[in-house]
Amino acid sequence: MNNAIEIRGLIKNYPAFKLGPLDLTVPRGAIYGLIGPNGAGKTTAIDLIFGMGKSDAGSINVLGLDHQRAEVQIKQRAAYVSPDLNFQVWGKVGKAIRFVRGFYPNWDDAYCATLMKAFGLSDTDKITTLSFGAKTKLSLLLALARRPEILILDEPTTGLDAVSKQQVFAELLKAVEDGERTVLISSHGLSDIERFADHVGMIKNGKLLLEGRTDQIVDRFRLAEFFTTNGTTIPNCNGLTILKRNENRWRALLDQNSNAQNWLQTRGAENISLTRLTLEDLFVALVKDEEAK
Amino acid sequence: MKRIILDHLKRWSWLWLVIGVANGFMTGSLLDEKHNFGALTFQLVLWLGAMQLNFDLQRGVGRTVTTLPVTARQIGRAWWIVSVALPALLLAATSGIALLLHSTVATTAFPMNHFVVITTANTLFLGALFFLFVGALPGWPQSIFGWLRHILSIGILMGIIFIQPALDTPKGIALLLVAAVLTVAGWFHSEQMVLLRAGFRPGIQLGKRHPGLHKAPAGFGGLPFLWQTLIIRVGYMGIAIVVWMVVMQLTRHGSTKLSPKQIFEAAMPAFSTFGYFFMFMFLLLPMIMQLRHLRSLPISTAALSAMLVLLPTVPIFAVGMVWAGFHGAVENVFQIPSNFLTCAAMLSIGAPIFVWQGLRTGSYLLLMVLVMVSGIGPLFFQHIKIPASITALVSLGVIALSFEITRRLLKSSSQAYRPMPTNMSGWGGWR
Repeated sequence: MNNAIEIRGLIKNYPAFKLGPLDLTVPRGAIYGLIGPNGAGKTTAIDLIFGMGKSDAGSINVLGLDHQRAEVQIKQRAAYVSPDLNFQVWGKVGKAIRFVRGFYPNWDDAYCATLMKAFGLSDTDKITTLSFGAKTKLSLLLALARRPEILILDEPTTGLDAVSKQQVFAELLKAVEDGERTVLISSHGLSDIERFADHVGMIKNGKLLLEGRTDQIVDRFRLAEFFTTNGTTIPNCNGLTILKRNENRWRALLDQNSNAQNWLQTRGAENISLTRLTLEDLFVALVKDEEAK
Repeated sequence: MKRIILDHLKRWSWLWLVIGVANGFMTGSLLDEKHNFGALTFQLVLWLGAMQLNFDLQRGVGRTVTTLPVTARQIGRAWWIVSVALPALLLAATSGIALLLHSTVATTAFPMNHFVVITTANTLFLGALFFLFVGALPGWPQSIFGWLRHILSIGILMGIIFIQPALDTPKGIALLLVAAVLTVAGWFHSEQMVLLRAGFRPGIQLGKRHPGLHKAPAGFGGLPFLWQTLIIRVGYMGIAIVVWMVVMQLTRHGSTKLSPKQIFEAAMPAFSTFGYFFMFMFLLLPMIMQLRHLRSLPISTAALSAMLVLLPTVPIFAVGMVWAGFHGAVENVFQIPSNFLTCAAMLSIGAPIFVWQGLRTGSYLLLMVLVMVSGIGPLFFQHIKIPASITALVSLGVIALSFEITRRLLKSSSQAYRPMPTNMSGWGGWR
C-alpha cells in the first residue's frame, strides 16, 4: 500500500454546494498541499475523511482501511489539526493534554514537553486566555505528541503571525523528517504550501483541478506572452488558457505537456516568450480558467 | 439607537411572540388554583431581555455594533430598552389581556392588585438581570465587585425562581428594592457595560501566563477523565445549589433543624425544570462545544452517542436512587427511581437536539420547549395513575431512541460541529 489516503469518486451534496466527484491520492510519506479558495470544499473533504458527515457516493481509504468500517483504527493513526477545534471546556492547557493523551498508548510525554516549551504553552495556562495562534499551536501539539502516521491540517496557519507560522512549519518539518509520516495540509496560503509541500492538489467548486508533485506541476505550466497581427483571435484550446488580451498582446497559461505551443504558432502567434510561474500564479490562472468554463 | 432596537426586534420577534403568548396563558392560569405556574412565569421571563442579549453578545454582536457610527451610550441605552423596557411592556400587555379575558369569562372584577404586582415584579426582575448579566464579563470574576455581581445574580435568580417570596412580605419587598436599585443602575451604567463587553478580550484581560511550566501532565486521560471532570464540576455546583436551597428552607421556616426528608424536598426543584436546564448547560453543552475535536479522536460514533446521551441522564438517575434510599418506606419502592428515570429520559432528548442543530438558536428554542413541557406536563397528568413499571419502560425506550437518533445524526451530518463564523452569526440562522 503506497498511498496513505485514496479518495475515489467522493460526492457530498449540500443545498448550496456539491463536492466532487473527487479523486485524490496522497502518497505515503508525502507532504500534500490541498489548495483552494474559501468554500472550495477542502474542509468538507477533510471532514469526510474523519467521518464528520456521510458521503453520498465514493470511497475513502486511509492507510488501506475503509474510513467507515475502520473509523476508530484510522483515528488512532491519524491526527487532525485546525484552529476551529474547541478546547475551552477543559479550562487549562494541561487538562486538554491529559484528556487527549488518554486515547493514545504511544503518546510521547518528552516530546509533548518539548513542544510545550517550543510553543510557549504552560500546563496551567487558561485556554480562554490563549491567543488565536496559541490555540492553533495547542491543536498542533495535541496532534504531534501522539506521533501519528498521518497528520491532517486544515488551514493551520490562518491567523498566525510570521514568527508563529515559521515555528509551526519548523515543528512540522521536524515531525516528518523521518519520511514515514504523511501530511495533508489544506490552505489558501499558497506561498507556505509551495515551500513546504512536495505534492499539491488544487480544488475549486468541489472539483480537483490538478494533482501531482509540486516541482512537476510548476515545471509543466508556463506563462506564455505573444503577439498577433491583423486582429487575429486566439481561442482557448486544450493546454492553452487565455488570461488577458491587450489589443495584439496576449497572455496565456500554457501546458507544456500539450501541443499548445505548436498550435499557437500555426495560428500566427509571434514572439512567444515563456515564463516560469509560481504556484500562486498557476493557481490563480487555473481558477480563472475554471470560472471561465 | 432606533436602528439597534429595530434590528433586535426583527431578529428576536419570533421568540417575543412565543413568550408573549405563553406568558398570557400562564398569567391567566395563575388565577386558577388548580395550576400554579408562578415559578414557571419567571423562568419564561428569563428567556427575554438580558439572556437574549447575552446570546447576541456571545456571538460577537457587541464588537460589531460598536464599530458603527453610534456612541456607546446610545448602544447601552438601546440594549436597556430591548432588554428591560420593551419586554416589560410585552409582559404587561399579555398579562393584562389574559387577566381581562379571565375576569370577563368569570364575570369578576379585573384583578388590578395582582396585575400591578406581577408587572412590577417582572419589570424589576428584567432590570436586575440586565445589570447583573450584561455587565458581567465571561470567566471568573477578577475583582470584589465582580464576585459581588456573581453572587447577587445567583441569589436573585434563585430567590425569585425557587423561593417565590410573597411580594408583600418584608423579604419580598427587600428583594424588589434591590432589583429596583439594579434596574435604575442598569440604565445609567449601560454605557460602561457596552465598553466592557465590546472591548473584552479574554487573552489580554484575563491572561495570567505561567511561563516555564512546560510539564507534560500525567494521570489517566481519555473518556474516563472527561466523565470525571464533568461529573465533579456538576457535582460541586449541584451541592452548592442544594445547600443554598436548604439554607433558604431553614430561613423560611425560621428553624435550625430539618429532617432528611425535608432537606430532599427542599432540593427537589433542582431536579425539575431548573435541573434540566442545569444538566444541559453544564454536561451536554461542554460536549457539543468540543464535538469537532471529539469526532477527530479515536472514539466510535456509537460510543460518542452513548456518552452524549448518558452524561446528563446517569447523574440524575443516580440522584434518584440515592433519594429513594433516603426516602425509605414509600408506597411503591419503584416509584422514585421510575420518576427519576423519566427525568433522565427527558434529558436524553437534549442530545439529538444539540447534535441536530448544534449551538444554533434552534437548539435553545427546542430546549426551552422541552423544559416548559417537562414543567407543565406533569401538572396536567398528576391525577392519572400510571404504573411505575410502564413509566420506566417508556423512559428506557426514550433513552434508547435518543441514542439511536444521536448516532445516526453524528454519522450523517457534520452540521453541529462545522466551524461557525462567530462575529456576524447573530444576524444569521434562525433569526
